Amino acid sequence: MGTLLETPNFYHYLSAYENLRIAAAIKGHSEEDIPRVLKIAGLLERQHSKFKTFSLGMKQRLAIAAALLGDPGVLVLDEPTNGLDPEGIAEVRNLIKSLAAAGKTVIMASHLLDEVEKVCDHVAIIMKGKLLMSGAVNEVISREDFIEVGAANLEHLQSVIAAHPDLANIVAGKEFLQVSFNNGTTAEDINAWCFEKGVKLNHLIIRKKSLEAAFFEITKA
Amino acid sequence: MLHIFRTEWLKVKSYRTFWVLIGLTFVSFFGVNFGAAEITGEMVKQSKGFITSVYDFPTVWQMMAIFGNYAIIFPGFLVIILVTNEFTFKTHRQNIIDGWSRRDFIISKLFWVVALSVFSLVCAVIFGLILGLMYGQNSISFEDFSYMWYFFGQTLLVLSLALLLGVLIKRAGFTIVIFMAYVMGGEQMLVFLGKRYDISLITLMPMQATDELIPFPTILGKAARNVSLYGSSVYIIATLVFIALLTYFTSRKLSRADL
Repeated sequence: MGTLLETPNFYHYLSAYENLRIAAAIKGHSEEDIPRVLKIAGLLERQHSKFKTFSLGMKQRLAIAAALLGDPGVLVLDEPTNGLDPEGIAEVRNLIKSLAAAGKTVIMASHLLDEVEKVCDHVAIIMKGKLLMSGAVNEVISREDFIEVGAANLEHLQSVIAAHPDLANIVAGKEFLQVSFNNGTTAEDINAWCFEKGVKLNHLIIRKKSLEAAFFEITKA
Repeated sequence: MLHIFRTEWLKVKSYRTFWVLIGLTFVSFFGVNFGAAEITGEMVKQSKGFITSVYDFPTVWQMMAIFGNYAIIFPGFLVIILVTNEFTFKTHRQNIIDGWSRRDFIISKLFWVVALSVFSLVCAVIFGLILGLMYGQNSISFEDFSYMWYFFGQTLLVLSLALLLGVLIKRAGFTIVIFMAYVMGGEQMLVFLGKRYDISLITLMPMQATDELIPFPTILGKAARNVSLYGSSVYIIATLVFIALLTYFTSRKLSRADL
């Protein structure tokens, strides 16, 4: 099992290769494995550059390379994108995906729900040591669509939509209404309903509930 | 245990600061003693045979031990930098996450105290032989070589102190300032005050205990230093006790501290 806990900790004055030699020596693995893990992490060309010259994303990829020494079947990554800039996050995300595609089991702990949704197949939500929910990401963090509608006369629009038989919820905003429906009612159906009632929509967008909102629903349930 | 030493070697073999400080240690052993040999050599010439060279065998060992005391400040800096680097880069945590026990980490740092003490001893012996041959008239002799062992004990003590300060303070710059302040004058001031008020126990302070074991050779020493208040065995025991205490507190701190 390979582990990456928190931030990458390496000797700043040593190169990527030299740092991995130390990690390999402590873990009791052969140095012959170093080029392989550097290649996986995309750092083979920069293996002789000093760690202090690396970007945040490269530092994190080097930490993952160190976790890969000895070719473990399972990797535990704790907040692997924590503190990274968008470019670094994308680099690490792609690396994790490629590791999973290569057959590794990657267990990732993260508070970044967007990353979880982009990277993971399965998710478990744990709060205060208790497992609240687990399963496929799309099932656990399911997010119902809602429709945002607007018209010249918002009050009239609200009364028209309120009369729809499948209406589930309606929230009035300053400029638009956020509405959700049961029984598979689509945006097209809503547009037709409003038009039939003499209301011309000037705004019609399908939106997804935020991940945070979905998470709060799970943790507060 | 060899794998720990090998890993420590991997940490420093490409580290420029390590080689600079090793070089400074080497050069300062020769520089300080060469300077002292030149000055005392001049005194010997002017005395027209009244005094003999102290850089001759066997007193050369005593002189190497006395002036080697100044050179070991550089290995002290090195011990501080090597241990505080681990805290600065948080690699002490990483080493343990990767598989070392806390005991392994403690051994890896104590290794430097012993290795650099041995290196200092080797430097002192090499330059003792060179300067003894350059400035002396007697053939090579290892009589009074016990001063080299006292010097080794003094080096172990000073480097153990450097390690403990590094472990406690964790910042290289501040640790070096505190270390220098203590080794280069802080304790000497206390000893000076203690002697003034006839507190004989003051000579058992860590640095002073080892200094008492290495007095200046008689011809120079009577004017420069009081005769020791206790026998050599007392100072030897005091030195060993201080080394043991410093090592114990370092190990205790590293084995209990939150990583």
